Amino acid sequence: MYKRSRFLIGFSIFLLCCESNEHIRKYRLPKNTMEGKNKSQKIPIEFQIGWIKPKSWKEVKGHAMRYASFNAPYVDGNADISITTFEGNSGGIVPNVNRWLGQIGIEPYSSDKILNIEEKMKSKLGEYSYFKLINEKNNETAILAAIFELKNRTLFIKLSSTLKGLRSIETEFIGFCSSIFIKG
Amino acid sequence: MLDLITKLLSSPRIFSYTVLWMIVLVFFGTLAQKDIGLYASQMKYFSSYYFTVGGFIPVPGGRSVLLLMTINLAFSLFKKNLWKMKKVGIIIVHVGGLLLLLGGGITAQFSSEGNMVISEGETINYVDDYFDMELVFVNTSLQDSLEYTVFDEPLLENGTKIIYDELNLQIDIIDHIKNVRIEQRISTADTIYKGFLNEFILLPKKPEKEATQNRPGIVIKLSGLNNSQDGIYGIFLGQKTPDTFQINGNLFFIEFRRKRTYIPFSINLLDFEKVMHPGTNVAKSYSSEINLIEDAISRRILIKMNEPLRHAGYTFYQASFVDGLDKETSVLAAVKNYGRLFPYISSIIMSIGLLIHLLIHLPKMLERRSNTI
Repeated sequence: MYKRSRFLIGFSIFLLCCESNEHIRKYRLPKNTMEGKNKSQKIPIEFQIGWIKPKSWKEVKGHAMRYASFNAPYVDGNADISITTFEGNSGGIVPNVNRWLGQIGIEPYSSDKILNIEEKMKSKLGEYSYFKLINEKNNETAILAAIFELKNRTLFIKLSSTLKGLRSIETEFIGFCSSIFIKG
Repeated sequence: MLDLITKLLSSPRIFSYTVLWMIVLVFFGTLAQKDIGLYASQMKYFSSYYFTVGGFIPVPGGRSVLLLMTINLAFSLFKKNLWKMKKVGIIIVHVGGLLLLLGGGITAQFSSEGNMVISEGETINYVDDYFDMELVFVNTSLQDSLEYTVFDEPLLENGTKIIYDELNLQIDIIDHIKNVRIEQRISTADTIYKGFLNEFILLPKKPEKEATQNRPGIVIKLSGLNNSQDGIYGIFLGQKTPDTFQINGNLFFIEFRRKRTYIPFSINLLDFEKVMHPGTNVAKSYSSEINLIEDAISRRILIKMNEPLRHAGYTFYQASFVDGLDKETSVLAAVKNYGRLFPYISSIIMSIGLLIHLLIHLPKMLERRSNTI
């Protein structure tokens, strides 16, 4: 009895140390449960913005990471305009501008050079940084970008098109960026 | 042989050394919180069986030390010279100490804690774990229901290969990132990258000191779907629009979310109220008025700071809040602790044991004192 008790104590302690091995679970929930219904409301603060867009621009379904996407027509085609937003500074202005420069085939600029090409613009959201990125050797890709550094997040508006498209839409693009406002 | 083992394991020296080692762990664990944060420190020093010093010297962690202490206390009860009437107080104190350690073990193994983030008007019946993640495949093609296949955190370590026959699927965990940074691709992605990874990349970012502030992500390779869908997918916590694919004609999406524990009742947040210190932005108090819905019966309850809701083994504390643009969001810390009562019960038992020990020895002590006088 005495020996058995000692064994039982040792065995119980061993069991307490064992982990459960059920690491794959499967279950069903009705589609109209709170999980399904409130899925989109899971992020506590929804950052919602509004804008005034030129009539010719068409809002299109963009990639998951985009807040909104537009097609802006010009003589030879459509420019792609995207709005993305990330929490924090999202790497800052310099790495983002250099990333865009890479997309149009230009080597990265120094911080000073980026500050030189930066233009400060005004909008309903406050001041924002505006960049016109052109590769003189390649007319096929050019970028216009606006970076709004807000309190806890950064908002990017980017236009990608040919140089010709960029030149014909630039004024509309600046007007669009300046019209951005926070909803609510 | 058994007697020798009992003698070894019941040695009071083990207890002394383990207590001393716990003091060392508490000291260094507390200091480490400054650099690595509360959760990482707790995991390294207290919730581990061992950890390494200097990268290669293994030393016992809190779990193994407390386990040894429990074994030591348990075996000390088998010392034959302990079972005497005059030592009954000591026996009771030992039993109390053992209960305290067992309660700690139960809490460590079976308890769960997390939070419930509810916006005003919302109803929720699950608790999100603070730290553990889960990878979820959701089948959306069933008529009335969503079917969730959930892979828990222990399976999500780098290099793990999960073969899930039911979906004829192989999942290779390529990179489980504690805190991700999302960057747009500069050049066109290889065709092996699918969905979100087609345009973006997930990069590791230095983890925050407080683990709850991290945004975890995972890069997985899926095989067994078909040539156009097999490939590398990336998902991160809070991804708004997840990647989708088809398995046997059913449409699935994948989600990487905090481990979800369903509770047998729902909480509907009616109103969140906060009172600020006058002239400041500092909250003086905040409270959540909720409907607790169970078996279609609803009852109204007010959860305040220091006045938690205790129901069905769960305790919900008013932990925090989020100011929203149109509505407020309450954050309730939810704890299910099976060992909750052990510290109270064992403290009472130990107190009784000490009292009995004192009472038994009091006459002797008084006698000795009168003799010296």
